[in-house]
Amino acid sequence: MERTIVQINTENWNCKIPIIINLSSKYTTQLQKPFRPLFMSVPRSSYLYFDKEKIFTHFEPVLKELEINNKNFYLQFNSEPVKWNTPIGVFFDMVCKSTNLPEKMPMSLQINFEKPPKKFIEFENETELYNYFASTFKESCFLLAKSATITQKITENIMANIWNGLKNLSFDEYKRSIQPLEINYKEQSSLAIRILLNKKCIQKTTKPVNQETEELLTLLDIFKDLDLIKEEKLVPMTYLIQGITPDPNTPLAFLSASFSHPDGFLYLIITTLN
Amino acid sequence: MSTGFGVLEWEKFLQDLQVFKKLPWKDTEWTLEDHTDMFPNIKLPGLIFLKTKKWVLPENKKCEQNLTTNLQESKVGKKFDNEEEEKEEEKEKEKEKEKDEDEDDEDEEEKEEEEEILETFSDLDEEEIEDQNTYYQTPLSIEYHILYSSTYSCPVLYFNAYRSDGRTLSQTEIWEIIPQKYRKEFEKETNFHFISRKEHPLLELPFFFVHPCNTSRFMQNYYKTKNYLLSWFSVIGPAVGVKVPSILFTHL
Repeated sequence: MERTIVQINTENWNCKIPIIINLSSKYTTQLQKPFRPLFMSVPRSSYLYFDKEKIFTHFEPVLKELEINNKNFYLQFNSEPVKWNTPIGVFFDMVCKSTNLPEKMPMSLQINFEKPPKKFIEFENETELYNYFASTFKESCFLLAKSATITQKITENIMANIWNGLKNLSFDEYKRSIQPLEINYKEQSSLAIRILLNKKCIQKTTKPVNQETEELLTLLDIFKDLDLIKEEKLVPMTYLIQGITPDPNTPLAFLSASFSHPDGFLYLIITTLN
Repeated sequence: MSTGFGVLEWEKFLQDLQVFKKLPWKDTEWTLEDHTDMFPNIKLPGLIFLKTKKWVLPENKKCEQNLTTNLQESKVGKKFDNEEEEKEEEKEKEKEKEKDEDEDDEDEEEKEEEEEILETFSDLDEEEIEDQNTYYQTPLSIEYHILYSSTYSCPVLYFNAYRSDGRTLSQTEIWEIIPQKYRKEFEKETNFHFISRKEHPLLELPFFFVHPCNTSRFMQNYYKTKNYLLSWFSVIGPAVGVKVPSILFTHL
């Protein structure tokens, strides 16, 4: 079983999403000829922030013609801004596969040099994103161990190694870095799950086991709590974990061990079809 | 979920919240925000919180010093840590110049004020002025929100600071609202142990928050308190610039 969990994790880490970045339509009318788009293959588990410089370098030549002086930009999918602190896979599942529109590959993004909307966090540098990631990781560790001692074990060194493992996209390096924390998936006291229900984030603290029946809790139990089961059937909706739709009877503990993101959380993206 | 010491259950949090709000806060008014309609039909803790807004002057800031005739061009002797700050300041300058052109009537009053200030600072050496790290003494508007963290089973403080032009403070600038005496202590620990940036769980706007991972640990010292929330806030509040009136300690 453990080998399977490692295999699944490795596959998730290696999974990439093709994207194409074009200039926002508000700029194209100002250009004499269309500017070439940027094609990229980005990992599901990572953050687009790591490619920020590469993206800027690609579009730099056209900024003079557009009379744009600032270096800051943000990306958007239609009108939805791509948050730097959301894992790419989570964003993709939220907007691309969960809509009623036909699935378009590559994911088409637009680059915009104006001031981003209020709900967007502008990270001034990588350290800020690192701090955000670190506090999220700490939170997930606390949930999995349910004791403050584990957060004390997360030293600066360990956190830096974890971050490097993520940047290098190496699951082996990541696994070695978290080993000193001794997170035991078999004795979880709580699961670290983030549910994106129609793009709104719910963080529900759930135990892996039903305390009365001592049975493993499954996705169905989450759907019940979210009022997504009516007359013993699931309401019309799509749900995704790392781009796939697992059987509703899959135990949450298994999903948490196999499909969690590097920040320690399992992201369940649900879109109700109304 | 957790039955350890130092934690606060959701129902007790709600009770403490009501009491906390009605205490004789001198110049702080707390309002209750109820967002339970965000997720109807779902039982979720944490959808109700308290908030307040304050105007504060950052500590240890020198008055605007003018060696020019324009009152609003007041960054004499300011040392910029990086180019980006400088560019931002230049943009602000331009904005204010535009405002100047519109407000002709107020110029006369301003000129009078200018002259007064020039007289005050004319005694200072130019070198002396340039050596000092001066900033605007413009008030900041700070919002404080007390939310409940179901992960750590304790309250958590979210806050955001805005300059008078509506701009929010960045991660480096936010240290301006931390009183000087606490800054040295927190400089010993790295940033992410104390203040981090995050989306507000209910408003989804970028906010700063005081990391709650150590809350239950220090709250174990206050197990005899009648109001967990007040005890907690008496520790956290002053560290982020909110003074707790001493009369409130009689309610603990």
